[in-house]
Order: sequence, then C-alpha cells, then structure tokens
Amino acid sequence: MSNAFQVESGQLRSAAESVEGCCRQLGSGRKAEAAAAVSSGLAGFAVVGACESATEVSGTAFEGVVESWRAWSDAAASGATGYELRDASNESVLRTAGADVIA
Amino acid sequence: MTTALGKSHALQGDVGALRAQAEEFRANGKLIQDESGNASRVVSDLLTSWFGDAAAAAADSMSRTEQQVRTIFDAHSEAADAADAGANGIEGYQLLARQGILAAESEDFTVAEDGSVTAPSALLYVQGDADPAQVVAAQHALDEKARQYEASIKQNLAGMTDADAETALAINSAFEGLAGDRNPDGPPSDHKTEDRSGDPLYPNGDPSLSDINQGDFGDCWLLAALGSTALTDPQKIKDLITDNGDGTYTVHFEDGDVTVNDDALLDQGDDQGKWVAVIETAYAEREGGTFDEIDGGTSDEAYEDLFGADTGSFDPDSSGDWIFGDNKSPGDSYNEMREALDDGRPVTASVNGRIGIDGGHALIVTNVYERDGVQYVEMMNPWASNSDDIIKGVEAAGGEAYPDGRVVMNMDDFSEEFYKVRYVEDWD
Repeated sequence: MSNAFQVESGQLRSAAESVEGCCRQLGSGRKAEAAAAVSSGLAGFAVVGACESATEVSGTAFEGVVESWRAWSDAAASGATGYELRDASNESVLRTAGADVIA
Repeated sequence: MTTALGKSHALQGDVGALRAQAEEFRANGKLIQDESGNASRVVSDLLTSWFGDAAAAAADSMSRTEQQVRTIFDAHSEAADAADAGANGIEGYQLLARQGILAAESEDFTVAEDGSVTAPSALLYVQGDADPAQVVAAQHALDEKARQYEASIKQNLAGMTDADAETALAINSAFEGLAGDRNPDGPPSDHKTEDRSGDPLYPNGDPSLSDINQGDFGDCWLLAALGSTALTDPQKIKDLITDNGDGTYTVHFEDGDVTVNDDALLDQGDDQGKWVAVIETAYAEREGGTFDEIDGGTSDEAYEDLFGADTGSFDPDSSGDWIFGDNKSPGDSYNEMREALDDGRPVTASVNGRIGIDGGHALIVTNVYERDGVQYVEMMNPWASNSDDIIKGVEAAGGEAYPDGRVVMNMDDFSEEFYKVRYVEDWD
C-alpha cells in the first residue's frame, strides 16, 4: 500500500469524533444571557432591541456553523464505513473512502 | 426609530449591562473561532490525503466554511466594540444629565421626564414681609436658574438618546450580513466537480442546444430550460453570464448575482458546454450550496429564476377535464407551442413515463409542424441520446426516436405520452 493510501478508517472515525466534539462545544459553550440583562438594565433604550436581534442572529449563525461541521463529521464517519467495506474487497481504500465523502 | 430618553433613563439606566453584552459578543466570537479552528485542523489533516476532484471540491468547501466562520467572528468583534463604545458614550452623557437632575432636585427644582425644569416658588425663600419687588426678583432668578438646569439636562438627555441610537445602529450593522439563512457549506457530498478552466465558455461560439448533454444528475428540468432557451433566444443566455476574466463567472439571477469559479464546476459525467456547468453550479450555490438542491424541479421555475420570465404550463390534452384541467385540445396545445416558438419563446414537455423514460423527465420542444394535415411535435432529450428502450418505447407509442436524442410524435400521441407543457409566456 502506498503512503498516499495510509489513512485508516480509525483516523476517519477519530476525526469524526473530534469534529463532533467541536460541535458539542459550540452548542454548549455559547452564551446568550446578556441581552436579557440589557433589556432589564437599559429598559427603554434602543440598544435593547439591537442586542436582542443580534443575539438571535448570532444563534442562527452558530447553528449554521454547527450544521456545517456536523456534516463534515458525518461525512468522515460515513467515509470510514465505506473504507472498511471496500478494504475488505482490496480496493484502493483511501480513494474509495474519499469518493464516499465527496462524490 | 429613535427613542427619546428622559429623566428615568438617566437615573436608572445601567450601562454595565451593555458592557456585559460586549463581553458576551467577544466570548461567543472567540468560541466559534477556537472550536472551528480545531475542527478545521482535523478536517484539513484528512484532506491532505485526498485526491483529484474530490480533494479540490472538499478544499473549496472548507474554504467557504472557514470564510463564513471568519465573517461570524468579525461580526461578533464588531458588535462587541460597538457595545463598549456605546456604553462609554451613553455613560458620559448620562453622568452629566444625572448630576444636573440631582442638583436641581436638591434645590427644590422640579425636573420632568423630558428634562423640563420648573423653579420652586420664591415665596419659599423670602420672609413673609419681604418687599414684593424682592419676591419678583427672586422668582426671576430662580426661573433663570431653572432654564439653565433645563438646557443642560436636555442637552445631555439628547446626547444619551443619540449615543443610544448610534449604538443600536452599529450593533445591527455588525450582524446585518449574517441575517437570514447563512448556513455555511459542509462537504459537497452529493456530487463531483471538475476543473473546466481550460474550456471555452461557448464551445460552439454561441449558446447552442448541442451544448446540453445530461449525465447522471437529475436536473433535466434546468437543462431543458437552458437548451430550449439556447435554441429560441441564445442572447438571453449570453446576457445571463458575465465572464469576469479571472476564472470566475457571474450568473445574474432574477433575485441576485452568484459568482462561481470554473475550476470546480458540476461534473455530470458527460461533456456539457461550459456555460451549462457554470449555470448549474451557480444555481446549486444559489439554492443552498449543494447540488442536491437542484436535483429535481420544473422548467418554468428555471425560466423565472434565471430570466424573470412570466411562464405558463398546460396539460396538452385536457379537453375532457372541464373542472380541473386546462380545457385544451391537442390542437389548442399545438397552436400555443407554435406561437411560442415563432415568438422566440422556449418550450419544454414532461413525459408520463410509458416510453422507456421515467415519468417527469423534461424534453426540449425544438419544433412543431404540420405535414399532410397531421400536426407533429419534435423534441430533444437533454441526455443527447436515446437508448434502445426509448426508441422502442416511442415507436410503440406511434412516434419515432433516434439515437442522437431526437423524438418526433404526432400531437395525439404526444398528448397521450406527455402530461405537461411548460413555456415562457412573456420574457418581461
């Protein structure tokens, strides 16, 4: 097996788990309490609406990023599965794993 | 809309909350930058071992994701700076307004919510037997002081109001670009792309029907719309695409432009004119960034999205359906198609699924004509070929099909085998 094909299914699975971990951090680490404090502390100020709106848009942007990384995580996990299946039939392992992810 | 701030805001407003919001923006921006950086490193490590088109497509997709993360991080940083600056600005005016209000009230002046100041009665401060002239003079002095307090308080309340409005605007502006559906792309898992940078945009000099060659991807609806337009009004295609001269092409959709790079265009597995791949890729980008988004659709939708055209559609034989149908006989349908083609307006037709082609597949109507009193419809399959099954299926239905993709049927047979005609009613 050439060096070019030395990615193993374990590496793909490990990558999938790492990326999934990042998704969890993004989901659990995001703060979203300040706008309520602004609403209370600066009642009647225009910035209240701006902070509430910004918090909502920020949340949507976070969800988008999490969705994106989760797609990569799923793709890596799926590639690992394809790799394992094709490895058993002696096909070019990395190329087929990559094709599963991308093609 | 600017909210006029008053006395209660000056006395009770807590700008510390805005500073806490700034810190939250910063923390969230850092979180998304750090965790995405970690994810990016993991995926990038994998990509170093990928090959060819798959690697190029993945790298391109990663690049878009990373750009989106940078945009989100920048928005949070900008909003944080705006919130901090706003807190400082509001606080400066608030301190002065509050000092003025408290000073006035400590001297028995009355301060209204809008900053208006009323002086106390001079009688409170003069002896009961004071000269009336002295009382009047004292009242004038108090009134003058009230005016001075009022001018100062109102000026600082106005400063607060302006600083508040500017801060709100700056925070809104920071996140403006992120509003709406801005999910960055994940991996392009649904289809391959290919580098077309060495190919001419129009291999036949102008957009041509022969540039359509659908492979293993389900966008017949789009290709039928493009092929029919290339046939009837190729200038519409040329007006649709701008060659930016740097390997990128901008497609001018009705609702906005999409620019794509010609080193990663949809690879159908068969040769298509590069302009076709440019539009397919841009369309996928417009619809959400994956090719799945354009896997299935209708040609009238494409005419509308691409050209802003008014479109129509009808069942070619609905003369027996007076309630739900279009009430068109095959002859009426023939005339509609004839009129459209004569007028340079494109027409497609969708098949029922009994002639060797799966139902819903769209063909390009290339001509309609009469011969010996019989009306015929001539079409082109976007596959640019017909299998033996199709040739046999069309023949069994009374028509003729050829290996190069052409299909000819008389109107009666066409009306049996095709369930929907879609066309441009008006380009404008």
